Amino acid sequence: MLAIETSDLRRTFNRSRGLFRGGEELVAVDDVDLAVPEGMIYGLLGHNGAGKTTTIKMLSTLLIPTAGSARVAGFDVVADERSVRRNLGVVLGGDRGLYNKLTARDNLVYFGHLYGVPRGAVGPRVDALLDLVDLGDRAADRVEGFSRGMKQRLHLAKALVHDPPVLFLDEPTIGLDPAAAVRVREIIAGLAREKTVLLTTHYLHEADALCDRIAIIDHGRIIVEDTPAGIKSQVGGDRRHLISVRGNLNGWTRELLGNLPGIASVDLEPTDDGLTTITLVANESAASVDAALRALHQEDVEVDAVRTADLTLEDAFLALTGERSE
Amino acid sequence: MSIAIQQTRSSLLVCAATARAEMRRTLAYTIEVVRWPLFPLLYYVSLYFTYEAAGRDSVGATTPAAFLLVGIFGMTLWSSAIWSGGYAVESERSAGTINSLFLSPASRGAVVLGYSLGAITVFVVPTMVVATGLALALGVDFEIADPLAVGVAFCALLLAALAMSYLLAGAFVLTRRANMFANFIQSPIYLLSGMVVPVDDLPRVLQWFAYIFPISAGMDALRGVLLTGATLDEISGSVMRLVLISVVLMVAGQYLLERVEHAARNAGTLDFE
Ligand SMILES: Nc1ncnc2c1ncn2[C@@H]1O[C@H](COP(=O)(O)OP(=O)(O)OP(=O)(O)O)[C@@H](O)[C@H]1O
Ligand SMILES: [Mg+2]
Repeated sequence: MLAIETSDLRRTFNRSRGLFRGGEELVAVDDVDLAVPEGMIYGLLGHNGAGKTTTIKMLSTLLIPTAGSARVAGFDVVADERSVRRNLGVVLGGDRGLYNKLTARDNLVYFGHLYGVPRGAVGPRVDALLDLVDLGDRAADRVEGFSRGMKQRLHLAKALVHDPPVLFLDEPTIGLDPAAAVRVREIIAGLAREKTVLLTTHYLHEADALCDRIAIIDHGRIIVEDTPAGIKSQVGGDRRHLISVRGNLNGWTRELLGNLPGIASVDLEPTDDGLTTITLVANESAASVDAALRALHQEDVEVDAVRTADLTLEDAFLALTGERSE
Repeated sequence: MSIAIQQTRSSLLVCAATARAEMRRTLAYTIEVVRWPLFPLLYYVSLYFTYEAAGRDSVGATTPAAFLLVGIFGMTLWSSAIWSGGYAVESERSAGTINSLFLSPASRGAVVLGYSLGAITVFVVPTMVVATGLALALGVDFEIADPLAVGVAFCALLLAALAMSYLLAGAFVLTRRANMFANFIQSPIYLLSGMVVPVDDLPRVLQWFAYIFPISAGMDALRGVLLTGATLDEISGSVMRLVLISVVLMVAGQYLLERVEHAARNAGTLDFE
């Protein structure tokens, strides 16, 4: 069964500019179709303002779609909102959303009651979750004194308090130190198979490591949907080769390199020390780099160093969406 | 049928959990512990001397001292209801927790009532203590014919305060600047509901307002059973009127709450301050 399913999901906003000034329509989410099978960690990536949070808010019943339809855990987000809420845990990024004057434990207990967790089960469940997010020893402290990372981990525990089959995590590792981020990623990875997770993040290595599939959303539209490896191969290669050469290269050399078989893209960047870095994305790595080096040799270009790196999801993301953001 | 029972049960649990949370949140501030005894005490003292200065030594069948004793009880009840339940959605909004709350399947109405009940529980004890102290100090004579009638009148007044805050909860969400609104309707209700002066002493037009606020019927009933020995029979008219109006207000409040939540989710302004 599909845990999350949308069809032509759309949301527009009126840009408010002030009293008496006419609003203009802004399309935040533009005919999005998603089909996320149960038990998958699914990444939703995109620039700032691309429409990720708006999508998550519609799927979690906080926003009513302008058009289209969506089902979560089999329930329609408009017609059967209460069932959707019962089956869903949500982390919205940032450090708001918890009762600052209550302790960590009281927060979780309260949310447990809001979600109708049976009375006898709330206590043990809350204690287990506090341990899971490493807040067991701070359970009796008020949330107002928590660091951002601690709040973020408490948010995750809150989203799990009623043991929902579907989780939406909107930038769950934002503002976390490296160790805490690793811990949160471990927790998310540990939820895989058992739960369906829809994850947004700007840390693309995180998406690469965690997600089974990824959709890239740009200006409200899904532009690519694939596995992380599939997305990288769509860009045309699986490796990047960085060749440092002395002096500047002319346009002709660039064209020559671009026309070699197996080369997907060529990028030139002069560096401060009088060198130029050529970045080649190549499919048939060894042969293509060989050919490139021979071509450079024939052109009397002096090669200083050659380095090879795996193509990252970030490279693919930037190639697909362009480097702009709003 | 069993679904209805289940829903009522889960709403009661949500209401109780919210009341506990609201009590904890309120008592987290030391000033609240001082404020609740001071609030009725200071109001009482200033009103008492206002009556003194006006040279009044009787109010209806009782003394100003006795009349105001029940009056301050209504005032604290009403203030805590408006600033907790009435203000609930607005507090959630400014605390940044409104999305967390509305993501849950919990009944919004149960949450609003939980807020009111939590705040009222916090105030009841200090107000009782202050009222008892004042009664002893000023030698107020109580005349209670039927303790059951006192219980009924008290519950009726509570219901009236809850119903009025419930109606406001929905209305306040619309304004998104609820404190301005709450501030300016708080005091007129003191006047119009017979808390500080008898409704009969007000101009005719204002008496009509008093009639539509269920709290004024509750004040009448509570004064009757505490000060002039009224029986259950004698207050039943006021109580019936109160229950009727309260039910209407609750139904209107429920409708408003649902409509307002829907409108905010439609406009995308739910979590806007
Ligand atoms: N409530 C709202 N009212 C008006 N415009 C909104 C509202 N919410 C979002 N938008 C607009 O919709 C667009 C998409 O915003 P959204 O928050 O979904 O982006 P995002 O992909 O989550 O970005 P980020 O990575 O920065 O969190 C933006 O242009 C934003 O200004
Ligand atoms: Mg966002």
